[in-house]
Amino acid sequence: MLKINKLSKNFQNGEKITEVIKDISFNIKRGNFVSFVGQSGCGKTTLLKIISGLIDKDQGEILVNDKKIFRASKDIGMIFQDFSLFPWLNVRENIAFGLRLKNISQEKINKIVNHYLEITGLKDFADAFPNSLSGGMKQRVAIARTLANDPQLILMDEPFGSLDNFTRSSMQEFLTNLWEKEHKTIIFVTHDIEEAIFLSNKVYLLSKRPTSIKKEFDVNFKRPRKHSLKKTKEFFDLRNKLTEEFL
Amino acid sequence: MQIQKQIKKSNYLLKGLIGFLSFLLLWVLLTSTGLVKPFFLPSPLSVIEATIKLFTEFNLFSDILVSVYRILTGFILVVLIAVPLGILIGVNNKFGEYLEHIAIFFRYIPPAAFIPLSILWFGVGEIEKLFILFISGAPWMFFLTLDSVRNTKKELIEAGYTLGASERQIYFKIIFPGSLPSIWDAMRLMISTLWTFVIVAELIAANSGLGHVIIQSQRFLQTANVIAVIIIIGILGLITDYLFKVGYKKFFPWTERVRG
Ligand SMILES: Nc1ncnc2c1ncn2[C@@H]1O[C@H](COP(=O)(O)OP(=O)(O)OP(=O)(O)O)[C@@H](O)[C@H]1O
Ligand SMILES: [Mg+2]
Repeated sequence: MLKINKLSKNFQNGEKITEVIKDISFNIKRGNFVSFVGQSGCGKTTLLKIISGLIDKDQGEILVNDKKIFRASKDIGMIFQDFSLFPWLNVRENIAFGLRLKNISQEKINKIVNHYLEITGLKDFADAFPNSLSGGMKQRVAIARTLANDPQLILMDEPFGSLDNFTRSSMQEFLTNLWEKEHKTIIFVTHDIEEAIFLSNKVYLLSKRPTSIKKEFDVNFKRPRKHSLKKTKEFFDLRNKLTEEFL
Repeated sequence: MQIQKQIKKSNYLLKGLIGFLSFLLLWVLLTSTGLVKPFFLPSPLSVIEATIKLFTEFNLFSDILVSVYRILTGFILVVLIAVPLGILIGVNNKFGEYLEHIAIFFRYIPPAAFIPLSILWFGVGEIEKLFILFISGAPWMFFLTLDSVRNTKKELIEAGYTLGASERQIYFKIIFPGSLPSIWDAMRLMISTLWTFVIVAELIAANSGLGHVIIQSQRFLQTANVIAVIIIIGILGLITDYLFKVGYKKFFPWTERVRG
């Protein structure tokens, strides 16, 4: 469903040119969950923003369902590192934001929003403003807001990077469960190898800037995945293997 | 957390009260010991007497209303013109630079410098006052609005696009609501400027209003009246500010700020 061919991107600041992405190519099938792991500053956010259409690429080709993308749209949802909730809207209104932009009846909006309030466990907080939510809850709102829009592809930019360890673990489990239920196509970006393995069917390791794909690994642990998976020998071995590649 | 907040709040009131009381004490000391002659600084008691007399015999209330009315019309005019312009230029840089330079030019001229010209053009009536208030408020309001619009977080705009918002929807559903609290704050600052300049304008040329009462009292050497009016202006300022603060809490409960 997503085809990326020889993608490159440089940033130019006055005289100085920074090469960020160099010749990245990969394909992602519908309903797959893949992760990209790369060090801080290697260009992960840039890659996602190019796929989403928020910034322009320099070279290469991006096809979503065989169609080129020209600008950001609801078809490619993005979940940001810093949540990016609209602080003036309560949880319910945040989730409804994308739906309200279109001509959808209030009744239908309510139905969709209620559904996502339910599965994200935010029902009791529907009327709360983001400033009164914890980090984990904020990120769940952001996820619900994107899911409510029913995008074909979801990009996640280190969504759990700013959460504490406990919240992070529970959010990982939440996301796995969600994916196992809805089978959305997800590209997940992180600098945490363990997180990538736990969540995905496939992990791409990115090199340092200018970034390109260093290696790819299939992750075949069976689903549904529980947190105990992280304690198994197989998981441990795979993690070590990836870590070695990475260094 | 809650308790901490409450302590802070009562502290806040207490400090305010102590400030006022020590000020009053100093005043009483200066006047009752005869250190300062009543002509220059009348005692608090005679100022209270003067205040009562101003209200009962000289209908000070109508002068208050006149000044408040002038400020309100000036405020509305400034908001109606400067806020939309600030928003427009904040989101769309294309024709911004022309106006920005004009606004900078006016911002650096003391509004009082326009009073003689304004009298020449409009006489000493309401239009002249409105003009002065507009000149003193609009450039500031414009810049503060511009700033708050430009400070909209880029991430929120990007989130909007990925949720399917059009450019128009980004303006109306993200940039505008997101800037409202700081625009409100800017209004709060701006109205204090208007208070200053309505009095200045009335001091220089007016037939009514609080500034007019001050200058009349000075002419007749009624120092107590002058001080009475000054205190009333201060109190009205406090009330205005308080209303803005309450409004902020009411309209923007979603902002992070605890105390304004
Ligand atoms: N608009 C821009 N102009 C110039 N340089 C940029 C711009 N955006 C990003 N860069 C540079 O591109 C490189 C990659 O940035 P990017 O944000 O994609 O990295 P990242 O992998 O997401 O990092 P992190 O893990 O810290 O989020 C960085 O060196 C950054 O300084
Ligand atoms: Mg990043």
